[in-house]
Amino acid sequence: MIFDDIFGGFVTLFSDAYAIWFVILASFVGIVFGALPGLTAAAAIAMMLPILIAYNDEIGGLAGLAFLYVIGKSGRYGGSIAAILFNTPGTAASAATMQDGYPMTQSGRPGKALKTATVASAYGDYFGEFVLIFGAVAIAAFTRQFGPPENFAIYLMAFVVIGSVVNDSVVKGIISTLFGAFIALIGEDTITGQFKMTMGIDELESGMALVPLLIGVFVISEVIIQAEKAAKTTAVKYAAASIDDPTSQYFTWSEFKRCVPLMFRSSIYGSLIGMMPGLGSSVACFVAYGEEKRRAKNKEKWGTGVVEGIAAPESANNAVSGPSMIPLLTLGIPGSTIAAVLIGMFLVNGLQPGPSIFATEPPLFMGGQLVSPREFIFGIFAAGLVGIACYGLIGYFAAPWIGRTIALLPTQYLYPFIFIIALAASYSSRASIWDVGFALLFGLVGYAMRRTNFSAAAFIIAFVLTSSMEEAFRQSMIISDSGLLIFFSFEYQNKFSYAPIFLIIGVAVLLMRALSPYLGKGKSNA
Amino acid sequence: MEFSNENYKRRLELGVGVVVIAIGAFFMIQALTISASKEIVGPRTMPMALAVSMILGGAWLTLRALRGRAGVIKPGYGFLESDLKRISLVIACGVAFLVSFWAFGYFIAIIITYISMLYTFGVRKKVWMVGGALVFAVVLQWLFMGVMLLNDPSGALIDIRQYTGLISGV
Repeated sequence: MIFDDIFGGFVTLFSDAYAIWFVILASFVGIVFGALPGLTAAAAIAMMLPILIAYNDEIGGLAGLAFLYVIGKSGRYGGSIAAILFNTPGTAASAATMQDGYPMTQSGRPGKALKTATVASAYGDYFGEFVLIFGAVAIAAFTRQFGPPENFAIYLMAFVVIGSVVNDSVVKGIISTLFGAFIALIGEDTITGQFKMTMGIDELESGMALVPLLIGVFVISEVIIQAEKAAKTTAVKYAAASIDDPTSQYFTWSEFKRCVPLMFRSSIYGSLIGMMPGLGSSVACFVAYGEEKRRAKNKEKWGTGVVEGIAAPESANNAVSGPSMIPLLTLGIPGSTIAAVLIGMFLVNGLQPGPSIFATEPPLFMGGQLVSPREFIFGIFAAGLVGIACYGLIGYFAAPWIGRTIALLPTQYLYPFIFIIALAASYSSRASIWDVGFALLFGLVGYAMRRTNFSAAAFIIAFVLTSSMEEAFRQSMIISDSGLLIFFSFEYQNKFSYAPIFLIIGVAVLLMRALSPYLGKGKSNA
Repeated sequence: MEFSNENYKRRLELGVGVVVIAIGAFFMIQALTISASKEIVGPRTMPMALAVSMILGGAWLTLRALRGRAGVIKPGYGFLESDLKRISLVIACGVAFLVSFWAFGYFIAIIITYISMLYTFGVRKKVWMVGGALVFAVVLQWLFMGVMLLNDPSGALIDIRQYTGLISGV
C-alpha cells in the first residue's frame, strides 16, 4: 500500500512541470543561501514566502510547497560549504563539520571534504526521508482519533518541550515561546469575533502576519549583525592550500565503505533527534560527532581533517530534515522553523496539517488536476526524494565553484541588497507598510534575543501554534463537565483520553532539562 | 572562550529579567482591555495566563541574577561587542524606507534606502550607489507592482506613479 502511495507521489510530482522546476531551483537556491555565512534556509523561505503565496494559484500548490520543503533540505547541506571552506558555519547545523572540514581544506583537500559532506548529507537525508514516510503514515493512523483535550495537551507538551530543549536556558526557552504565543493572540478572536490587544492599530485587527516576523527575527537581525561585522572584517576568506594532486580531491570508494556504518548510526541519531520538536540539526551534528569520535579507533586524528569527522555530523544533520516533519504531519506541531512556515503554505492550499492530511477525501484542485490530500502529501515526499538527488548532484560537482563564488561576493553590496528584498517582501505579504515597520521592530527584537540567548526558533514556532492551541483549549472547556480536570482524566465523552500522558511527557522533559545540570554535577562528583 | 567579567553578565541578566517583567506587565494590561465574556474560559483567559507566566519567568531571571548566578557566558553573548552606531544606521535606513514610502512612494523609497544601506556598509562609490539603486528599484517595481500586482500607493508629497507605471505596466 505505502509503496503504491510513493509511486503515486512520483506520478503527482512528475505530472506537474512547475513542481519539477521548482524542486531543481530550490536545490540550488537552498545551497547558496545555506552557504552564505549568517543566512539560513529559514531566511530564504521568509523572503520567498510572499511571492510563492501570491503565485500559488498560477503555479499550483505542489510547486510552492515542494520549493519550501526542498530549500529546507538543501539549505542544511549548503551550510557545510561555508563550514568547510571558510571555517564559518553557514548554518548552526554545520558547526560540527568545521572541526574536520576546515583542517582538510587547509591541507589542500577541499574537494574531498566537500564531496564527503555531499555524500553524507544525501545519505542522511534519504534515511530521514524514509523514516518520515513510513513513520508519519503509521503514527497518523493512531493520532487521527484525538479530540480537543488531547490536541490541547499535545500543544502544551510541545510548548514545554520546545521551550525546554531549544536553548541552553530552560527559562529563556520557555519565555521565548510565551512571547511568540502572546504576539499570536493579537487580532480577532476566533470564537467571539472581538478584537484583542490591537492597541488601537487597525492593521492589527487581522493579527500579526508571519512573514514580517520571520523577516524580522531571521533576516533583519542578521543584517544588523553583518553591518557590525562590516566595520571589523571585509569578507569570508577561502583558505585552501595549493592543490598538487587532483586525485586527492576524490571521496574514494574505500572511504565511502568505511563511512557507511558511521553514516548509518549518525542518521539514526539525526532521525531520533529530528522527531523531537525543537531539537534540530545543530544538536544532531554535535551528538553524532561526539559519539562517533568516542567510538573511533583513530580518535586522536579527529579534528585534523578525517573524512569520518565530516561524514558523521553531515549525515546526522540532514537526517533531521525528514523526521522533523513527523510532528507536523501527525500532530499538527511544527518541529522546526521551516515546518512552522510550511503550515502557512498548507493552509493556503486548503490543507490542515495533522493526521487528516493522509485522508483520501475530499479531493483538492491543484495545478489543473484533482488530487486527494494523500496523493498531494506523497507528491511532497517525492519532491523531497528528488530534491535530495538534485542538491546531491549540484553539490558533488559544483560545491567548490559555489564556495569560490561566495568568497568573491562583496558583502558590502550583498547585505544591503538582502535588506531591501526583506523590506519589499514584508510589504508584499499584505501590501501594508505597517508590516515593514513590524519587520524592523522584530529585527531589533531578534537581535536582542540573539545577544541574550533567547530562541528565535521557539518564538516563531509558538507564534504559529498558539491560535490552534487556544481553540483546542476553549473547545475542551465547552465539552468538559469538570473544567480543567478534563486534561487530567483518562476518559471524556465515553472514550479513552491520552491527554494526561502528553502532559506527563511534557513535565518529564521539563524536569529532566531543569535538573540536568545538578544530575551532571552529582555524576562528576561521584 | 569565556569572558572574565562575570559582573557584566549578572548586570545584563538583571536587566533582561526586568525587561521581561515589563513586557509581561504590558501584556497583562493589554489582556485586561479584552472584554470579559460569560464563558468559563473566554478570550481573556489565554493572554492573561501567558502574561502571568511571563512575569514569573522574568522574576525568576531577576532573582537568579540578584543571587549572583547567571550561568556560563558564551561567545556572542551580550552587547559588549555591539556596534551601536551600525545598529542605529541600519534601523535608520529602515525608518528612511517607511518615511520615504509615505512621502514619495515605493520606487523612490527603494532608491533612498538602498543608497543609505550601501553607505552604512561602507560603500562610497557614488556611481555604483546611484546606478545600482536605480537598476534595483526598476527591477523591484516591475516584479512587485507589475507582476505581483501589489498596491502602489501614491506618495503624500509626490506622486510619480505616472512614470513608474511605465515600468510596472499598470
